[in-house]
Amino acid sequence: MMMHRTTAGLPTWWRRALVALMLLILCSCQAVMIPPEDDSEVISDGPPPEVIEAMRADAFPRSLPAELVKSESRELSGEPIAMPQINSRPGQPGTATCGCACCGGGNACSTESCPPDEIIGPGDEYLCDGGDYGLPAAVRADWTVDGLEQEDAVAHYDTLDGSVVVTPSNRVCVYAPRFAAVRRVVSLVAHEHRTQLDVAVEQHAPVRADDMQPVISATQHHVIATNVAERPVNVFRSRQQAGEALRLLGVTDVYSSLGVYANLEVIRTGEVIGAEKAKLAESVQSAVTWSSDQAVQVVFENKQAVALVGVKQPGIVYGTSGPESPRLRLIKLASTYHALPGEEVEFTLRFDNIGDQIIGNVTIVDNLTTRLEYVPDTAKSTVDAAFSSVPNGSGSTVLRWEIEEPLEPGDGGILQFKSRVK
Amino acid sequence: MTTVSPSARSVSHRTQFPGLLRWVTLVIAVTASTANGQQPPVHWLHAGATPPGAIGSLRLARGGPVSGYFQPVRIRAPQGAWISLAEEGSFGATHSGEVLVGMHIGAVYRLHVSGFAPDFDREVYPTVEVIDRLYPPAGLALRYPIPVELTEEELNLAADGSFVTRVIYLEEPAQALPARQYDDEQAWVEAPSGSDPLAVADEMGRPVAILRIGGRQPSRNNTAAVPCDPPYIQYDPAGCDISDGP
Repeated sequence: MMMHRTTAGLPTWWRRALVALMLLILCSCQAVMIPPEDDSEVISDGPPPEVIEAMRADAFPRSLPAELVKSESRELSGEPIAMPQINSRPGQPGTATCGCACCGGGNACSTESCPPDEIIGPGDEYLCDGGDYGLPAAVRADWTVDGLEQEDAVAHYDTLDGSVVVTPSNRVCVYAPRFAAVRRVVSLVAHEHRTQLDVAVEQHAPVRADDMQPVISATQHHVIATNVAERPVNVFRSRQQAGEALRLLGVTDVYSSLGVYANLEVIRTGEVIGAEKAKLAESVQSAVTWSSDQAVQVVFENKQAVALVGVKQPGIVYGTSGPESPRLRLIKLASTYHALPGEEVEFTLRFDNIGDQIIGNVTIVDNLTTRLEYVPDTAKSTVDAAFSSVPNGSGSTVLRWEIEEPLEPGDGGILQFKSRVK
Repeated sequence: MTTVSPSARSVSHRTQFPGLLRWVTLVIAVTASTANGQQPPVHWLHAGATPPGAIGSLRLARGGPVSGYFQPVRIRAPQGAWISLAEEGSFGATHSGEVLVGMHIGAVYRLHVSGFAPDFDREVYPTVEVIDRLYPPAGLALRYPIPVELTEEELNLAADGSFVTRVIYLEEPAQALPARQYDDEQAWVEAPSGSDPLAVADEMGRPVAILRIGGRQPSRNNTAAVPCDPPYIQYDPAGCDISDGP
């Protein structure tokens, strides 16, 4: 009988199916990876050893050599674009426990790339703005930008051959930790209720005890409604001002208002001067530091985009090889590298057409992070541009400059705005 | 011959049913353990109700640049209240309203707070336990201390016999509320009933300190209430210049 029980169990194919099902369930606990859609090479999280060596030998050690930087290309159309890669966002723990406060928390953090006397720590104490992380930004046929997430700052423009190119800025991080608290109050009233409830259970039915001892009376100090009222999201949405502040300023006005941190030749004229390297390195310390090992997204139609400049100067420049190659450089600076809640931080964006052809419809978009609040009427531009600020749906603002005139080769401009740390 | 077949089927059904139950139980157990493993990393083994010092000690055991570091902490009481820290078995100098001190991580510091509204003659003895540190740029440690707020409401709750646990955490920037917060106010939420405040803080950010306020008064006969007086460094709040890092 026992032998019959063992041999007359589940069929073999049924057992194998169950084993396969369990293996599938076990494998499903791994992280979800979105595979690349095309054959373009995925940018790795950390640089290879030869890149690290090149970075050490360079004056700006956190920029990758051009020949070692890979990018991806895809065609742009009005159809939805499948994003080939989810990039990890620097400066935020969770995805990468190797968080590095001085270089953005990417996996490539190493003590060699951090300034001396800096202790590696999590990146959750920094507010970052700039770059293009998460889903890559892309432009639809109706000029709406997809993939523009919080903290992203990109520029897009049209080339003579009809392509739309998206260029991210470098990343600027400001040390601005903010604290909150979780409270719990346990009162003696609660203990008295528990004692009385025990007595009631012995003498009465539980239903009766519940009637006489409403448990809610023991939790009077837990005022849930107060907590809900502390974060009315709709209030913050209401203070956003759509279609705000078109303000055009002459070149001289903006130049005269450049802060010390941005009063550099590379910002005024776009020309990098060797004598300013030290000051520039200090002013864009965060910019260069935090944009070192991050994957960037540049889109060219049917062309491979490679980083052309980036080792010797800040900012990110992308272009395609060929006799006529459009190139736009976008540099972002912050007026300070640390700020308390309530303080203002001024951001400066310098853009230059350093290609050999004219580019048009240049649009620069900056999606501020949740804890940065745009200060109204502080946006400036040295060129004619239509400025708009719209809520981004998460309590902050999307800033948008549409440069009205096409940019000739060598032309550029400066954009400035102020934001307040919440 | 035909009578054998129904009998065999019935035997087969009896044996298949327990076997199927075992398989189903195994599949459910595997599925449940898989779902459990996907929970976010929090202080599962810890709780806000653990004795003071336990969580900080475990943080020290995890290693890192925390042992021996004096983390600046700014303790602020309501206007008119007095704060003093335990030192060498008693309470030291009193400070009006605010004090900026450097505290060891994992140690428990006992405070004496008195002179708060509405009666101005009550006193409580909170404890502060720093369980993690900050990593500010060089020279900015005093400008960005961990804020510990002693609110008038909570001090009175403790004086009336309640026990208040306040877990201070560093907000995760991506999850931060889009609300303005200035230096003189700290946002807080009430831990939902039945949940642990440390676990709630773990989900919302990185817990860095635990403030416990109770109504019990330390006495010589009560060993559990002996003042906790580890070493600390006192800073001048008015002199928190950028260059005055510890």
